[in-house]
Amino acid sequence: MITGGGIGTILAVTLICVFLVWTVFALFVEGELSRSGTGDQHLGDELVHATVDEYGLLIGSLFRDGSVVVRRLDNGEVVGRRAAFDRAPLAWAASSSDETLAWANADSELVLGGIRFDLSFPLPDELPDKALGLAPGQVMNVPGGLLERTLEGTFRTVTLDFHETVPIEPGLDVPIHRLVMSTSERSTVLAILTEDHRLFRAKIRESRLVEGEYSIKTKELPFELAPGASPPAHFAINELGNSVTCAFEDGRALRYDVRAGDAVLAESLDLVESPTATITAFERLLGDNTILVGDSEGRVTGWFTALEENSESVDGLRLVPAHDFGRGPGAVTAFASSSRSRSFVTVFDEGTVRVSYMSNEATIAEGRSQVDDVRLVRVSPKEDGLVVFGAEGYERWNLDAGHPEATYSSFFRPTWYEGYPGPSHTWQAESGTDDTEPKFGFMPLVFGTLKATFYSMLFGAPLALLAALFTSEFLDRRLRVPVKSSIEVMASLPSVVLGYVAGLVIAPFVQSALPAVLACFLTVPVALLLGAYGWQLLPQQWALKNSGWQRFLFMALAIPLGLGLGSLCGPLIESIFFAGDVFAWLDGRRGSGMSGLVLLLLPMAALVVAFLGTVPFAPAFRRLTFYKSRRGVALADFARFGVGVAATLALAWFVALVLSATGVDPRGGVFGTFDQKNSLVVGFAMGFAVVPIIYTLAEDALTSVPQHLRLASLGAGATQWQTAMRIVVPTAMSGIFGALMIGLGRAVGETMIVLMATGNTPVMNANVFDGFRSLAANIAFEMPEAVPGSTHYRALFLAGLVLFAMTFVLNTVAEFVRLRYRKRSRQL
Amino acid sequence: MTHGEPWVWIAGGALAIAILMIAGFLALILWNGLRTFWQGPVVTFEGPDGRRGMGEISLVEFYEPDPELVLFMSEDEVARLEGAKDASGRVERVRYRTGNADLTGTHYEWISGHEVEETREDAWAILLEREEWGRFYGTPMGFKLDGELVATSEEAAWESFREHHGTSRERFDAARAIEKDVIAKLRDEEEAARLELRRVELTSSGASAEYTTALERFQSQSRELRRRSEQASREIRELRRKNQSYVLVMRTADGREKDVVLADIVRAVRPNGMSFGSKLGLYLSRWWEFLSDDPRSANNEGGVFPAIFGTVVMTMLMSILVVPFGVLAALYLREYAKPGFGVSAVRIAVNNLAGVPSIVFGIFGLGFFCYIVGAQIDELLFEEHLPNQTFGTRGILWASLTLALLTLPVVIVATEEALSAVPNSMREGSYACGATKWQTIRRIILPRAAPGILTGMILAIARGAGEVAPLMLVGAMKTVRNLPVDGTFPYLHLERSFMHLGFHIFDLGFHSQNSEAAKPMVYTTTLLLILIVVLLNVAAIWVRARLRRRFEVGTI
Repeated sequence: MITGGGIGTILAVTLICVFLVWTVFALFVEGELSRSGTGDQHLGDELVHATVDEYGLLIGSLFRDGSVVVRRLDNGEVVGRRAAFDRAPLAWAASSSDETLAWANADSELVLGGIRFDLSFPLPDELPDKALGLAPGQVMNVPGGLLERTLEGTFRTVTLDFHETVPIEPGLDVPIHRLVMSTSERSTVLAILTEDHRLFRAKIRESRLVEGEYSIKTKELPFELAPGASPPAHFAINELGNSVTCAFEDGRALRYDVRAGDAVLAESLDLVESPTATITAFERLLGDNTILVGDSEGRVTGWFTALEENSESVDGLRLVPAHDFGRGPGAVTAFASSSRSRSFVTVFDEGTVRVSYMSNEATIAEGRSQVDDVRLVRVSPKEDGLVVFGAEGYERWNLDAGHPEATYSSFFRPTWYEGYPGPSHTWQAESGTDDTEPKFGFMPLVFGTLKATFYSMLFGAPLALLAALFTSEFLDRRLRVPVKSSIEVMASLPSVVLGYVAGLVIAPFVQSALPAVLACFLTVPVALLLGAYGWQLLPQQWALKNSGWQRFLFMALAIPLGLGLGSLCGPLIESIFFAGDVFAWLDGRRGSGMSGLVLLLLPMAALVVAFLGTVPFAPAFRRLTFYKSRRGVALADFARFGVGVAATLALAWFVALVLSATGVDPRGGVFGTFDQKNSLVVGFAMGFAVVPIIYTLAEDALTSVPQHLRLASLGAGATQWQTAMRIVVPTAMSGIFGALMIGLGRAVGETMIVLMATGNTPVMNANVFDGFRSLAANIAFEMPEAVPGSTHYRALFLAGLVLFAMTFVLNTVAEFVRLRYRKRSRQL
Repeated sequence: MTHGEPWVWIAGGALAIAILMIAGFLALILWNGLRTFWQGPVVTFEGPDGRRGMGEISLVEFYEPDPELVLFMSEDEVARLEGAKDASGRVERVRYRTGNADLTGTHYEWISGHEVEETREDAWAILLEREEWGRFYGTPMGFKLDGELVATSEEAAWESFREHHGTSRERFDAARAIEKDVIAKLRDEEEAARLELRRVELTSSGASAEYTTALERFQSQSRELRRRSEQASREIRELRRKNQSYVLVMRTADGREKDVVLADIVRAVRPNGMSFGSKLGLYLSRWWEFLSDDPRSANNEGGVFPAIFGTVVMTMLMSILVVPFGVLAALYLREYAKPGFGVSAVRIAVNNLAGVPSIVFGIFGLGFFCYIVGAQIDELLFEEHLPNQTFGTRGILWASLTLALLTLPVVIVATEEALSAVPNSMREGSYACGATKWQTIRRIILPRAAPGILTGMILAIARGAGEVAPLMLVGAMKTVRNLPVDGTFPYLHLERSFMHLGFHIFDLGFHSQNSEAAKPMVYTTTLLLILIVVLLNVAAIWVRARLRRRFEVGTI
């Protein structure tokens, strides 16, 4: 029984890993496309629009003359029909969301309308007896649509609804030739080409007061067609209606900027690379900001306007071929964009049907169609099927798109998102609406995690290791137990409390006294060193007698001294290094970068000076002071310290001068605009959290170094510090390394402190005074909102898996080092 | 000679910094947590422009006036500001807790030194702690009974208040009790009846006779329940109507009048001139309220009893789950498994598990327990509840299970340590007497290892009580309607979500609209949480020390 329980428990543990992998695995399963049926009804040339209902039961097809036919998708039977208009419209347009239509009637008036499937859920007692006999999953014809009994046993009817508004007079005196439209919640925008080749932009708004009343504003674009040339074949307009693009058959395109005032030609460009190719397919992607272009040589490109520095165009934007899908197997005949994601379908003339995803240029699935002369392709609203319409029939396909937005490249490679100036690592997974592009770039989160870890270890690791060394080698024996247990209690402090204090106490404090806080990083070590040299000056008798807890008390007193010194030096530091205003300096509004470089270089310079001042000069110094009294040596030592401080400053200043002459400015790198909840605060608070762990483990390792090694070293004449550094630390090295690894693991996975003490913006910069978002905080932040099973949900599991893997590696390394260390210490 | 003294000082300084940080941190929490409920004087301040206000001083600091702000000041004001400056050019400013958020929209006000001409402690300054909108500071002006002013002096109003407050609150509590017990119970019964109907509908088809009778039964039941619920609502309305007629008329420092219904006042205090003894009494009664009451005014006031209760129930469930499994695993590893690659691999896995970030356990709990196991349970056992989830969503059971997984390594490691501390001579002695392995474990080893197992359990509880990140995902909530344990069958409601002290701190500190108003509450909650966690840890250390001593004696 015990064996069973034990093994069961251990299996439960492995379940975590298996489950994470299983959940994430679904992200990388490829999509599937399979033909599910065909219909051979003649549709003819006149099809202008088609729509498929949510459940894949019906298709509605709209013809040029305004007639509508509703067919069952499974057997092609006509279940509803709408008669043609008396006089056929001149031009049609449909919005990319599939629901709204606009057309120019025979009198060149504009009419808005819609073709949409309506759903209703009738109760059993409203239905005829025949309907009650339906088995779940069966359907029955009703006027204009179908009745289905769902698998749960309830009923639903799907019917097609076609509606139109009153005609709106656009105020153009010539017949309309072509139309293209885009809709948003506030307005409908249209690009209109008239018979005499003039181009207009119209904006239609519904009155807020009176339902069904519309106002229209038209604006002419400076479009001129060379005499005898054929008019542009393709048009696009974006959702706001401030950018209109028209493209000619041969690939030339014109983009107009219609934001305010007079419309201007923003740029003219070529959409097709090859000189012989012509545009054969042109479609807008969901959201109407990206244009899909397919040419006669099979090349598919995705274009959108992006901000460009030093742009030649009037609006500073440029239409860029951000996504290139390469050459397909034949000329492109049709595109269809999905209405729920940034997937689209491409049909090539030799029959290949390809489903691709825009942002990461991934191919989701591919199939071969038997339909000749493809006119139109539609993606079903749930993105679970396609219908390919040819002149002589149609084909139904089942589609399982999987998670197209999640590929290795979209997680870890720079991706060019719509409207961005170039490819970037961006995380913006929670999207308000369907047509915002989800951005799953993991790098900002990984970077944030590493940034948090780096700053907290920079603060916590030296502190913990030095404290551990002092406790095991120098601290009064009686103090050891209480000191160690109090730091162990600190390990158990809930991180939410640390996070709260960091975010709501420390962060505002740091903001209010930033120069003083920065000064303290210099003055506290200086105060301690002053204390040390002062201690050496004391009479030997007294110093030896009080080298126990009294010395530690003095050390502890040096800290408030240093802090006080720091707060006094704060204004001084601000005026010397930061041109009098630290926040303005950080913004780059004041002063030069050099002073900041000096500050950054000071610790390194101090280390260099300390090394040079001891190792090469030590014999000379010893010779110089050999015959001096104890007091004389201490004084000489003190003088050496003074020289060292001066040398440190001089060295830092000199290197900073050289560096800033070569144009190095720490602002934009390690320094930058100040944010109240920043990495410095997190580093401090998380340092606080990792100190006890590193301290406890390192102290254990140091204490377990056998006493005879220490005694031998001291007996050979080494000082206590020499013994500690040359004998004890190297012996305990692997244990110390293990402690650091465990501390790293804790820092990597810490959630609450990061969540509460940073602004949680997923940015990538090294700025100490800016926030970040870590993997762990991101999970905590977004998981409660993520829909189970969605790409976002699984992406967050991937974040969890990455964290798991990071800590797994760190812990395993620590474990191996510890095993080695144990073996070694047993030999001693 | 004293080679390396500076380095020793640096190392000692590091230790001192670490200790000072802990001390400073604890001092901050203690000071802020303990002083929250201490009643200070209520100060009335009057500005030169006739502006008046009243409140408790919550913070005093010095600031350097922004030169840009001075541009917008009148000449008089600039002169006053100059006059208020000290030698270094800084001006004192005071943050008053002025309450009256329903009138002013803020709980706190910063008043700069130059804006105050005079401060005094008004003897009739009164602090009302209300059910909604937080605190009210003002002076009593009158007392209305059934809309008629019956008292007009401060004294008389105060007397009438004291006379009627108790009975008003009794009616208020009675109304709340009816709401909580009777109406909620009726609602539950109606829900149960609806579920019964749904169950019949699922088992038989929609048109069967069985369904028709069930439907009729449901309709009559629901009519009866609705009638009773209406009756209870009438009682509540009656109580509330009665309460509406007792009104204390208050005047704020700036002269505005405000009618406060007596039943809405939790506590009224006249702080100025209060004796030390009565202040102490007030302090203790506020602590008692904090520990025993439900939160009110968006969790900013009142108590945290549901959070304490939720934390306790969750950790208890967690220890019930984690201790047996952890002990079994440790027993297996230490006593049964043959040492070799397998055992060390398992040990590495357990150690690794200890290092896995808690948030990873959180997503595992959410994805596996809630969405997979819970959804299965719902489909099998609670089909009639769907699409409302029972176990298929966050809940205390899943939270405890998740934390049990999280703390499993703690228990395994502690138990293993305890098992290995049992001397082999004892095992051998037991075997020599003819005991079986199981007998040896049960009679000899486990009793010896019990303190160690207890240590592990305490440490696990301390970890579980302080952990927040996974709970955010699997079950902790901002407020809950029902506690996870109550008087209705089956008494322990494993599917309910719960409040948790750590999550309460996170939520108050970061999601509260008014984080300044929530601060006192956060500090007291923090103090409570830290006390619990630290006490548990100290207990664990103590038990461990005792255990060591016992075995030291035992092995000699």
